[in-house]
Amino acid sequence: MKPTTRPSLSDAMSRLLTLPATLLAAAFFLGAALPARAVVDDSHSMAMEAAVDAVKAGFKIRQEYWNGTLKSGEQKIVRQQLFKGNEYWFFLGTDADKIAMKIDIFDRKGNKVTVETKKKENATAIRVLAPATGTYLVVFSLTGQENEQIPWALAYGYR
Amino acid sequence: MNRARSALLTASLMAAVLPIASAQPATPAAPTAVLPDKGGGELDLTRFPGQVIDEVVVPVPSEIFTVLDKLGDPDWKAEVGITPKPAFSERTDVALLLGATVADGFIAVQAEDKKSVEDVGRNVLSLAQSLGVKDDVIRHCQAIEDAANKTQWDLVRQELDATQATVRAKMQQMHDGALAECISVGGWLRGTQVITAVIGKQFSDERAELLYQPDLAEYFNDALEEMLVRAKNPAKLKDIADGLARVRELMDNGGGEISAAAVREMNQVTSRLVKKITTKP
Repeated sequence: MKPTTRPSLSDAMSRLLTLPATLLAAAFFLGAALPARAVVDDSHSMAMEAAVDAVKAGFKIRQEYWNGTLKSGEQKIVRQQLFKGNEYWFFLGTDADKIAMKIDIFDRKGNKVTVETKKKENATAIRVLAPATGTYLVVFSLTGQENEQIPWALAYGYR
Repeated sequence: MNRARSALLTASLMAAVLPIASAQPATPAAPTAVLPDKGGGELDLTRFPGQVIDEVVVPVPSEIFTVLDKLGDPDWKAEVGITPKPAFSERTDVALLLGATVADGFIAVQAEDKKSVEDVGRNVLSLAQSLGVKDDVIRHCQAIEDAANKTQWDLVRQELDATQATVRAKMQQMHDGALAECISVGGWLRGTQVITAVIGKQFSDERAELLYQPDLAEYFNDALEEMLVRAKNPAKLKDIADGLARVRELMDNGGGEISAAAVREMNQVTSRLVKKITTKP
């Protein structure tokens, strides 16, 4: 699966840093809807809503993100190169209701390296301080009704 | 291709992940154990109760330069060099060159060299035109020039990232994923060339750890190997793929720390490959 790109999102985010917090959430939705050629991805919008605090804290959100649908309870994995010294937030979002989301990240020895988790109604975010430079596995699942096909989007930011 | 290390890494991670899988009551009848093939070290991913959705996520250049910011203040001005712009007709060559040129932009930002950043913006636009994506990147190039004029270096970085992402996305839309990979390869090689030069001048284990990216080298090697069959200039791609294989070995170093000698050789290999990418034979 190749990442999806929303061309104007990072631009919008960098400018959002100067906006009052109360406008940020709304601005994210507007920003997501701006590119005429892009299809609105509500799951990604949910993930980006969860990214507001991180953006305010100086994290840069990567423009490309990953998305799709998965069957309730199914697990997916993204292999990710991380760098020691960088701090990361990963944001998992869905536009489906009443979904339990789980996301964690593991180092090369199989140790969980997640240092913080934040949950919202339609998104879950985890913070990671890479203890070493190398490849990590981001593992996530979403659970809803049995056999439900659940849309998801995964994005990340770093500083 | 030596995959033993990454397979072993994945295997150990899979074992750690299993408790999550077993905690999911809604998971359909899935295998309950994942074991590596102890004979060859290869892992049977089909037995894992989950799907790997990306071979390995290639970081955007600014992720790497963000780390470098924290490792002191090397002499970036000595590394600035605007890549020549030979008139390639083959799109693969143009894509490789575009990636290297974007990397030049990051180096110029590190050196806070406004003139070079502006030159990069113009060169990127010209190369994008050759790929038929000028209209898609023109706003980024304008933003790069504007931000450079205001010495807003962080914004320049963002726009350089965005430029590369936009061109890659456009290539994917045009069902030309191979070209998208070439852009990444060109950028990664030029970036690695410069980073190895910087680290080599002031070596430390901490700095060298930044180069522990063997899975990326392997990913790029695999991508180029797949392209060889239908490439119009397979010799060039084969040479780059072989060089990437050597870089992967140096980066991996059997799991040990990366030595100063390994950094020097990485720099030699990547310098040779970048020259191949940026000049006509």
